[in-house]
Amino acid sequence: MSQAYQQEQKQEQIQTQQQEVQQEQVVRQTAPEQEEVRQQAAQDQALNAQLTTVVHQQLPPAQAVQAAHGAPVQEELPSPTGYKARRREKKHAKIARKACPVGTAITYDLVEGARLSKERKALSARECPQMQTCSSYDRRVLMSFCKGYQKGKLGGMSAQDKANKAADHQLFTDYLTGNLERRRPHLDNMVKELLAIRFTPDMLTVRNVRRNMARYRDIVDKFYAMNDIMKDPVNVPYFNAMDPMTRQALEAAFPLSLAFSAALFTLSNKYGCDLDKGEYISHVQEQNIHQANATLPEFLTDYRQAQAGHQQEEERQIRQSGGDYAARVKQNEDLLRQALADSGVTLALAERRAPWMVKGAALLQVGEEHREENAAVVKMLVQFHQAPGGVPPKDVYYQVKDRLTPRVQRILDCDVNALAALPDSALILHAAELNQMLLDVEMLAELMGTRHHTATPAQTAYLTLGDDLIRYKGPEYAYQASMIQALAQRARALAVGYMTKHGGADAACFIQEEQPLAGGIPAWTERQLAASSQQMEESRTRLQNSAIVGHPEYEERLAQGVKIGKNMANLMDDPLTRVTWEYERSQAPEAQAVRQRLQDENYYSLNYTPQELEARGLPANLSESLFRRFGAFLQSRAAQALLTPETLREMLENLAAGAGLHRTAPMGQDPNEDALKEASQRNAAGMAQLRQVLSAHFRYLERKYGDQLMFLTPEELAEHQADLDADFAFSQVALKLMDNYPDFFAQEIQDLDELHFRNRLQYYASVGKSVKDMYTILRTAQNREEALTRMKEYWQIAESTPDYAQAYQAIRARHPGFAHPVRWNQGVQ
Amino acid sequence: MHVGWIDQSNLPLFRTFLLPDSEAALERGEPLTALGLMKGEVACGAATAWLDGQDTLSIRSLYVAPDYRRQGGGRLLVNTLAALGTGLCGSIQCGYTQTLPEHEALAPFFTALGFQPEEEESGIYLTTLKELADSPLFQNRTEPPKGPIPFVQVSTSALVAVYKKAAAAGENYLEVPLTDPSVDQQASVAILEQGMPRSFAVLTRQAPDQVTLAWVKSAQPNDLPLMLQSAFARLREISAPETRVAVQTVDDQTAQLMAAILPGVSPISRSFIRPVEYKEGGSL
Repeated sequence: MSQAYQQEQKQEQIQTQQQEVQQEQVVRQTAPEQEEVRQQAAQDQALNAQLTTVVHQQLPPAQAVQAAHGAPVQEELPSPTGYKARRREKKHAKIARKACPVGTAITYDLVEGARLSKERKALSARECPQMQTCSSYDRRVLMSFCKGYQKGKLGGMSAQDKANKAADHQLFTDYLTGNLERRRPHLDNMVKELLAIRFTPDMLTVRNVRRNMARYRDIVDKFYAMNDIMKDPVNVPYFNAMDPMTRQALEAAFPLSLAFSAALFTLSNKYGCDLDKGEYISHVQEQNIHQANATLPEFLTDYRQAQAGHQQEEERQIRQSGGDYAARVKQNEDLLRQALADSGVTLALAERRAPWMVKGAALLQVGEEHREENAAVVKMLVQFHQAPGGVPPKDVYYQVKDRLTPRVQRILDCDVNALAALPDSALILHAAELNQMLLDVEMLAELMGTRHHTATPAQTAYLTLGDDLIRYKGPEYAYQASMIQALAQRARALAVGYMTKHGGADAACFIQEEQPLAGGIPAWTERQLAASSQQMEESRTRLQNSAIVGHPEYEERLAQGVKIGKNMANLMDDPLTRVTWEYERSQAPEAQAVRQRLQDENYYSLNYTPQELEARGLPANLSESLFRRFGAFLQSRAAQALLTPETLREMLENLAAGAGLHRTAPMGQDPNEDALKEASQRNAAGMAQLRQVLSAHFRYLERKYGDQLMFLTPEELAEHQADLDADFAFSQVALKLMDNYPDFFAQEIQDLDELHFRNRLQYYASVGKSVKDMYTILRTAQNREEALTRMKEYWQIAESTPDYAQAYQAIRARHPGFAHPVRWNQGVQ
Repeated sequence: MHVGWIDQSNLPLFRTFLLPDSEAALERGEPLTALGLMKGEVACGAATAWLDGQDTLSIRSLYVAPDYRRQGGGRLLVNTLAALGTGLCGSIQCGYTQTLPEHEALAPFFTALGFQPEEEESGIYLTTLKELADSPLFQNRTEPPKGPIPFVQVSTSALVAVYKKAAAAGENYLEVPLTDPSVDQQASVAILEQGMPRSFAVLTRQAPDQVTLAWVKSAQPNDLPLMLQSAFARLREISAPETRVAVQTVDDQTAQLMAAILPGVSPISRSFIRPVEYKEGGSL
C-alpha cells in the first residue's frame, strides 16, 4: 500500500471524525429549540387528534361510489401567512441556522420531512418480530413500502395508525416467508403504488419540495427498492408473467425516478439538508452545499427533459391504445385460425365463427412455442362445447375451469372503482390492461353458462360452470365485469378521440363488425363515451339494488379495496345482520317504511301532538333516529342472545309502523285516528320487545361492571376496548328513549324489576357514554400518570353533576349486588 | 347533501377535491380533520381543517364540484367543521388568495355564514405588467432609472453575503437565496454602496407568465420607488404585457407603496373569521 494512499485514508478518517463531532455539536446546540418546536408540534398533533376523535364519533365515514368532476385549481402564488406561522418560521430558521451554514426555515422543513418519513417506518420495522432477524437488504426494501405509524407516549395509537401497523406487519410476515404466493398481493400493491405516481414538471419547485418532502422521499425510496425487488429470484416469475403493458409502464418510470431522485438530493443539499440521513449538512461538510449549488441546474434540466420524454412516451402509449382493442381481436383471430389448423379438428363454418369459439380464442397465447398448447386448448373447447346433452365430461370440465379460475379472480380483483375515479387523462393509460380483461369478460360470458359436469341432460334447473366459478360473488362479479366493459370502452374512446384530434385515427382502430362507423369517428367517440358513462351508472344502480351490497360495511371494504366476497360471506353468516341488510337495501315498500321511520327520521310517538309534548316539557321527537346504524344495536350481547331473525324482523316492523303518519290533534280527534291507533299499538308492541332486550342488556352490564366502570385502568381500557364499544354502543339512544320518548316507561312503576331497569339504564347509559371519552384521554395524554390524573378529574366532574348523583344514589341504594369487581366473562341471562 | 369523515381508507374518491397539501397530510396519516361532501352516493366536495393552537380552527382546503354548487354543500361543510370545533377552539378561519373568477363567490359566501373579514399584516396583490405601466409611479417612464443595477451585474458573493446577513438577523421572509434559479436575475435590482447592495428588490418567476415581487429591502426612503421603477421597467423589456405580477406586502411601508403604485386595487389575499359557536345554521 503506498504512503500516499495511506495518507489519503487517514485524511478521510479525520474528516469523517470531524463531521461526526460537528454533527454531535449541532445536535447539542439545537437540542433545546428542537425540543420546544417538537413539543409544540406534538401538542398541535394531540389537539388535532382529539378533534379527529370527535369527528369520528359524531359523523359517519364518507361513503360514495363515484366522484363528481372537478378539482380545485391551485395557483403558484404566495399564500397569506398569519402571525403564528411567521413566528414558527422564525423559530425553525433559528434552529436551522445553528446547525447548517445555509440553514433557513426551508432547511428545517426539508430535514423534518425526511426525518418524519424515516421515523414512522422505523417504528413499524422495530415492532415486528420477523423484521428483527431478516437481512438488512430485505429490511431496507420492506421499509420502503411499509406505511409506518406513530405512537403516543402512553403507547396509544389512532385507528388509522393501528390499521397501518396491521398492514405493515402483514407485509413483513408474508414477504419474509420467501413464498411467491404469499408475496403476490403485496407485489401487486407495490406495482400499483409506483404506477400511480405522477411526475410533473413543477414537483421540484422549492415550494413544492418544502411542502412534500416526506412524500418525495418515499417515492425515491420506493423506486430504489423496486429495482431490488424485481431482481429478487423469488419475485422474478411474478415480473416475467406480468402484463407486458404494465411492465413497460413500470420500466419507463425508472429513468424518470432516477432523474427525480438526483435532482431532489442535489436540491436538498443546496438548502443544507442531507436527505439520505435526514440531517442538517454541518459547517464541516459545506463543500457538499457548494457542489450542489454548481450542479443543481444541470440535474433540474435532466429531470425536466426526462419528464418531457416520459410524457412523450405516454403519448405514444395513448396512440397505441386507440388501436389496441382491434389489434388484439385480430391477433386472437389469427391465433385461432392457426390453432384450428394445428389441432386437425374439423368444424363447420358456423361453428368456427360461433361466439364460444371466437371469444374462447382469448385463452390462446402468442408465440411459436405455444402452438402445441393452443391446439390442445382448441380441442378442449370443442369437447367442452360439443358434449352430448350439453354436459361436459368431468376431466374436460376441470381443464376448462382451471384455465378460467385465474381470469375470474383477476376480474374480481380489479379495482374498478379506483379506475372509475381516475381522471380521463389517467384512465387512457390503462386501456391495454382493460382491453385484455374485456376480452376475458367476453370469453367468460360465453363459457360460463355450460352445465356443471354433475348435471344431467334432463334437468331443467342445473348448476353451471359460472355458478361453480363465482359461487356467492355473483353480484360483485356482474358489477366488476360490467364496469370493466364500460371502462375499457371509455379508455378506448378517449384514445381514439385523442388520435382524431392529433392525427392518426383510422380504420385500423376498429374491428370489422364496427365498420362503417355511422357519422364518422368523432360521432363514434361521443357515442362510446356516453354509453360508457351510462353503463357505469347502470352497473352501480344494479349493485346498489342487489340484496347483499350497499351496506355501510360493504362500502367501507370496497373503499379499502379489500376482497369483498370472502368478507361479505363471513358477515352474512350472522343471521341478524342479514335481516337488517334486507331492510337497508330492499326497495320493497315495507323496507322503505322501516328505513324512513327508524333510520332517516328522528323517532317520534304517535300518541301525542308536538304541542302536547311541549306542554309536558318534552321535545317533539327523540332528537335521534332509533337505529342510525342497526349494527350498533346488534353489537349488544343481549340482542344477539335473545333475538332470532324472526323476532328481530317483527320488532323492527312493529317499531316502524306508522311511517309518514304524524299526530296533528289530540287522541280521538285526529282525522287519521284509526291508522294512528293501529300503528301506535304496533309501536308499543315493538317498544316492549326492545325494552325486553335492553332490560337484559343492562342486567348483564350490572353483573359485569358493578360499580367499577369509573375505576378502569388505562390497561384495562386498552385491553377491553372491543367489549366496551359493544356494550355501550346503544347507550346514547337508550338515554334519549328514557328522556325524550313518552311511551318508553309506563306511567307508574309497577314492580321492582321495572324500578331496577330504570336505575340501571340511567346509571350505565350515562356512565358508559362517558367511557368513550376515556379513549380520547388515553390517546392525547403524554404519559400514564397524566392519563390517570385526567381520567380522575373527568370522573370527579361527572360525579358532581346532579344527573349522575341521582343515578348513582338510586342504584347504590336499591341494588345490593351493585358493588363488585369487574367480571369480564359474563353471559346474558 | 350529507357529510362524513375522510381518512386514508376512503381518500381515493375525494382526492381530486383536496389541495395537494391536505391530500399529502391525509396520506401520511396526520390527524387533519377532513370531511367529504356527498349527494346521494356521489362524492362532490371536501374540506379540511387544522387546529392551530387552541384558539383557531383553520380551513386548509374547501371545494365543491361545479355541478353541485348553490345547493348548500359549502355551507354544510363549513358549519359542520365549526360545530365539531366547538369546545376545542374559539374561532374558525379561512385564508385564500383570489386568483380565479370562481373565487369571487367566496367572500359573499363567508359573509353569509357570519364570517368577518380579518385584518392581515401581509396582503397579496395581483396585477399585470400592462396595468403597472399605467400606474402613476411609472407613467412617462420607459427607460430604467439610473442607480439600481440588475442582479446579473452584482457579484454572486455579494448576493450570498446579503442573504446570509438577512437570514441571520431573521429579517422578514425570503424563501430562497438571492442566487436561486427562481430569482429573476435580469429584473431583480440592487443599489450598491461600496460594492455591497444597500437596498434591493427581488422578483421571482414561478412560470413564464408570472412573477412575484418577493422581497424588498430599502435602506433609504428614496431607494424604494427607484428600485421598483427600475425592476418593473426591466421586466417590461423582457416580458409580455400580460405577464402577471404578484406582490406580497409584509409591513405598513410596503402596503403604502402598493397603494401608491396601484391606487384603487385591493389585495387578493383574503382572510375571514367567526366564532365557532355562531348560531346561524351551524348544527351537525
